[in-house]
Amino acid sequence: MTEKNKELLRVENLKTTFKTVRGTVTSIDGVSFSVGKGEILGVVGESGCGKSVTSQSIMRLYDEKKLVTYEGEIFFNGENLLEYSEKQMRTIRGNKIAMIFQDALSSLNPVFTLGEQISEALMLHQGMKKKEAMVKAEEMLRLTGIPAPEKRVKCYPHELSGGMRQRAMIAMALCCQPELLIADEPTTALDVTIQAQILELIVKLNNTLDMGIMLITHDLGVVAQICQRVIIMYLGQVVEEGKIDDIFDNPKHPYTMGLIKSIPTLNTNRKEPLYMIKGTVPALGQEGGGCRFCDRCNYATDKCKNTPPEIMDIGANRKVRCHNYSEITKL
Amino acid sequence: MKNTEKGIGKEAIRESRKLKLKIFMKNKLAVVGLVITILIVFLGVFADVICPEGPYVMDIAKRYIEPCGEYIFGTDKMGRDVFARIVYGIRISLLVGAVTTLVTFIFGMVLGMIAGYFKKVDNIIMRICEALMSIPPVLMAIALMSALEPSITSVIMSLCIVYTPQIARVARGATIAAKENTYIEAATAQGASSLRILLHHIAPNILSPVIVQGTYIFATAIILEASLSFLGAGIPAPAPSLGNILYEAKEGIFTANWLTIYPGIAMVLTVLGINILGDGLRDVLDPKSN
Amino acid sequence: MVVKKTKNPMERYEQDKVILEVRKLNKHFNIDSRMRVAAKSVKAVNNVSFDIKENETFSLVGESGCGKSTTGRTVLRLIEPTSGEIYYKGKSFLELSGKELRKERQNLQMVFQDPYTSLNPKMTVGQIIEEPLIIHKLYENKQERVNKVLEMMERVGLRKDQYYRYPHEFSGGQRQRIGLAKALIVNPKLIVCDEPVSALDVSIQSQILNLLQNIKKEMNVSYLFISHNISVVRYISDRIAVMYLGHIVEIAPTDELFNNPKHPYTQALLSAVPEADPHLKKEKIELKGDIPSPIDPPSGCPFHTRCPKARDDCKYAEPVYTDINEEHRVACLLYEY
Repeated sequence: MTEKNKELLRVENLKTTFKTVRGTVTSIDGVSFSVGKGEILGVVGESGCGKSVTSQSIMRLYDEKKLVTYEGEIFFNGENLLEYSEKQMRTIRGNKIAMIFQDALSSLNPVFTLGEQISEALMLHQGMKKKEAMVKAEEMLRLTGIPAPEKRVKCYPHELSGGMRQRAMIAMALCCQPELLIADEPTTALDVTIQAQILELIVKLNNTLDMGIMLITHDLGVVAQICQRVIIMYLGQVVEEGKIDDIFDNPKHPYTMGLIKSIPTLNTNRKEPLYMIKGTVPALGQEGGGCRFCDRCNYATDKCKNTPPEIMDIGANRKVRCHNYSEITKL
Repeated sequence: MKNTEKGIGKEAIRESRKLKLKIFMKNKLAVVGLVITILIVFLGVFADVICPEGPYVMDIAKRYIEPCGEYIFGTDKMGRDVFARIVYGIRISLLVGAVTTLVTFIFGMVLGMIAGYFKKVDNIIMRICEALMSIPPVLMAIALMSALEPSITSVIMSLCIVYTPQIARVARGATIAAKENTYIEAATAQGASSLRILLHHIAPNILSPVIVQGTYIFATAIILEASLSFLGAGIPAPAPSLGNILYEAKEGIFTANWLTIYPGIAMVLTVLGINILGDGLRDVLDPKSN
Repeated sequence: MVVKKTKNPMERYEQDKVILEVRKLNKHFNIDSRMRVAAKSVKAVNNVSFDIKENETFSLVGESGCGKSTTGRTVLRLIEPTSGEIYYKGKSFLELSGKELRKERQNLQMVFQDPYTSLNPKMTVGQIIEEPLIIHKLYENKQERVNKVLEMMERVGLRKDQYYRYPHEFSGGQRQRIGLAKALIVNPKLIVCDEPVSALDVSIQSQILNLLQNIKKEMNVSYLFISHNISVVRYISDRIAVMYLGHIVEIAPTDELFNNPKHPYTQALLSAVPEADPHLKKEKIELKGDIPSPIDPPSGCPFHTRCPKARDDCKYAEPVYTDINEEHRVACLLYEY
């Protein structure tokens, strides 16, 4: 194994269960995947598929006393994060694993300047002095391409545009040189021309800083443009995993096929109706005994209705959770 | 066919009601409030069944009897049964509270929705409300009562004038918030008139906070009525209300303390019960808490 | 389409089937002067002119803050314009009084972006879809209205047994179907669709887009389609106007716009769309900086601060429309002679 492909994060059979007034809800059920050093992994799925829960579980951001129970293992650099104490987790969060969110405005504290917010993390995790930290903060803002960073460190979040705020949040996430960056829909709230800038920045930082990136998104276009590998999630499970070219050229799972076909692109034939995946995403807890996708699947058989498929390794770094993938692919 | 369709929809409604009930029942304090309120209301409503002889029977020979088997709360200076007076007092206090709440609810909703929806009159209505609210409720009520004939109707009228602005303010705030929803814009785009928007789209959506405010008004109206009666500006004697029972008891406060203790407890329980119930209702009705 | 001064709006409706004509529409919002030294205004819509023909999908595309939603709402008079003219079927829409306007709204409907706040949570689906029939007094008795509602529910892909359900029990896509049924039940001629699919999941988005296409064919409606998603706009539109900072910078039929974009902003916008194809590494035209604030728009051409092809005169001269061909217009100094 080369240094580039060294495993950074490995999630094994992760199961996250929430307690609610209506009873318990298993939000993600047996999710396994890994992120290599310097790799950009795309995590794709629709609302309710558990992609955000997965990332929050890795960071263990939920209230474990009241709200949530975890099962499975999360190995980060070979150590199981689920066995860490809350105190140990604090040395990981924001330091070794950093996170950026869709909504930069509500993720930044409105009453502190950018410089203060970035330097806070530096003083906390790296033990820097205030002055030193401010210099570093300015440097980080410059790295993310914010013009005139010496002025921006004194700005409050509301004084910046959406794109600038996203850059500032990235600067804050990167200031402790994390080994893993979890980006949860980082460009969804942005305009296309600004999105292009931010994606370019993420790729550039990935190359220069050599960190692993887990990019969570619903936008297959974004994934196709910047990721090396991708996992597709549906209703709390990974349904397909593979290299980006393989997935787009030759999807094996009917859900992946449907997703790719149903997006209008700049080459779609406008005279023909778009491909549709029938039905709607069922609510969690309402899935039947069989495959979770079978009600919406055009190829579902009796077996699909009764036996839940396991995720299968089908070689060439690909995995798929479907009973009939080999027949379907031939059609 | 129609029935089964209806059945499916109704089932969902029942399910959501069940869930709301579950949230309410989980709140132990609210259940206590509900139980107390039900007991008090029961006493008030069935006063003439519980004490058929009424609150006015005097017997000078039986003055100041301490609580005993026959008179569980004792008798007062005119030999009247304190228990009977408290039960009838609760009835009058609840009547005053209920009518005040109902009237302020109607007027407050109308004024608040108009103020919240039509920007032009907002200033006028709200400034008048604020002016009314700036006077302490007790002073305001005393002033009004001195101008009116002393009677239950006058007490209710002055309480309504005191509390309508409070409901109006809550209704206005809720209206302004509801107005921001796209479904209001959608109704406008549909060609709906302002009246229709207010009645069909705004009113149902602002009910929850106004109802919660209403329960507080219920409780405070009972207290204010008692204060007025205690000060001699409320319900005219000899009719019993929790306030004037206490007023009449003050002569014997050191010698016959049961005259103040039992009506006092009745008063506290009534107000406390309704208030706790209001808190519980807020948790159920507030969509954010679900 | 060039607005020919020789034809009046009535003639354009009768001869060219233009059902909606918008001329030099302006909307400036005043900012409260208490907060600032001098009162300023946000120039949300500037001299916007376009027309929509019968059974046509006309799209406004642009980034946030470009004024596309404001334009859509102003066309329906949900926001009153600062100046300009709007003609529906050749008659001035802006001159209608309150009651006439409410009546005319039957023909001009709207579908909203957010399917979570655009439906009254306290009404059942049946009541929501029935309401327009009550407002416009279209049927005499309740049974006729209910039948019509059930027919419309079926038409947009809702089940009859969902009649008594409340909006919160539905997913985003189904709510958008409810919103669509509500708009369609009064047989409108034009529907303003404000980002109707952008809040929806990918697998649901294509269902709604197909539904919109089918309805257009069957019910002979026109759409004013507002979206920031260029691929969606390309799929659904007959003609497209690209907006930037309140201005329409380019307007052309769909294929023409995508094959032959003229305005530098259109070119950049098309190149920035992330394509769901890993082999397609497009030559990206990267735009520098951010969209300027509409409170303080740049002088001259609004795009000159970010334009890769900007010349000196772009800072001073405001571009006027140049006709590339009969149906393709662009507002850029590069094409003025």
